[in-house]
Amino acid sequence: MLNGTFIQGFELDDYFPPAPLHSTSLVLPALLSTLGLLGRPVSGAQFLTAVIAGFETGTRVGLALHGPRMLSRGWHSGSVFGTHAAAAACGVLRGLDAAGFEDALGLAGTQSAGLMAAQYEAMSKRMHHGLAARNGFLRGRARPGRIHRNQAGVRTLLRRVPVHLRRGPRPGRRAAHRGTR
Amino acid sequence: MPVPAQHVPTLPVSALPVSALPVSALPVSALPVSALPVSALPTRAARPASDPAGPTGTLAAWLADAGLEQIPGAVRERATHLILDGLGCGLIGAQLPWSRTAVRAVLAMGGRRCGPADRLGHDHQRAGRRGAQRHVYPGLRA
Repeated sequence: MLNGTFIQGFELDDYFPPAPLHSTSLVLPALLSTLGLLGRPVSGAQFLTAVIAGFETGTRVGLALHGPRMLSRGWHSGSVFGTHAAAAACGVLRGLDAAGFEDALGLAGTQSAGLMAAQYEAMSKRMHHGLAARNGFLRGRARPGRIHRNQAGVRTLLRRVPVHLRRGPRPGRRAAHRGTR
Repeated sequence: MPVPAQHVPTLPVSALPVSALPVSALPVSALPVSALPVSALPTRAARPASDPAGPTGTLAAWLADAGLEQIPGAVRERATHLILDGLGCGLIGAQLPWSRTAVRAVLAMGGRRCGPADRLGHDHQRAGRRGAQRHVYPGLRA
């Protein structure tokens, strides 16, 4: 978590605008932590594969969730779909199968969080990617057969949410509700 | 005691402690897993995702099959640079004022070492001291 916070600490790190996230601050800390727990050596090729898998997953999940729209809705995008990036990368190092990845991604998605309060001078933004890296790292540890199956993806979940809730609150309607509750 | 074939792990008998014998007297699955070397654990067949055609299932299947040989050289090179860039950013960010605040807050909860990885840009003997740095990742080989 701290390493992710450090990497994001000065906004000098990599950034993917179409699906706003800072990939290395998510993937590297989670992988370094996984290395310490694996108890076996990891080759450079395996590490690089895991890093690329993390980069790909985070940006793809981000694009599926409409990228920057996450920011305009008040959620810090990188820590929403950054958990997926970290979980995918850790899963590659751990050699998960497809069902294992499904569980890891589902459990990572359930921990997506982070308010975009950085626009209002909150310092917590620096830590969001670190927190997402930690959450994804923990989910990548999901062992085959030990976690329940059928973890819904974020998209699947959002599709199940009724349309009127999906659109989000409209500013004009808030005044109409005021005084009625 | 007869055990259905699919429940018998592929386990060399020589890997078991002598005290566990005679093996035929008890099901092998009753042995504590922690007593076995990891290499002797049965390898589980790769399981598909619950909905292989769905978006999550497609992603999961792709991740499970990911190999470096399928990744274009330019992508590999770019990713290598990004790893170095990330580590460099971490070293710079490690001693920023808000990073120090974060370190103090986390260590106050979790002791001197909070996770399985070393902190970037920190010496574990004298945590937070500028200058001396130790970056050893035991599992990582070039």
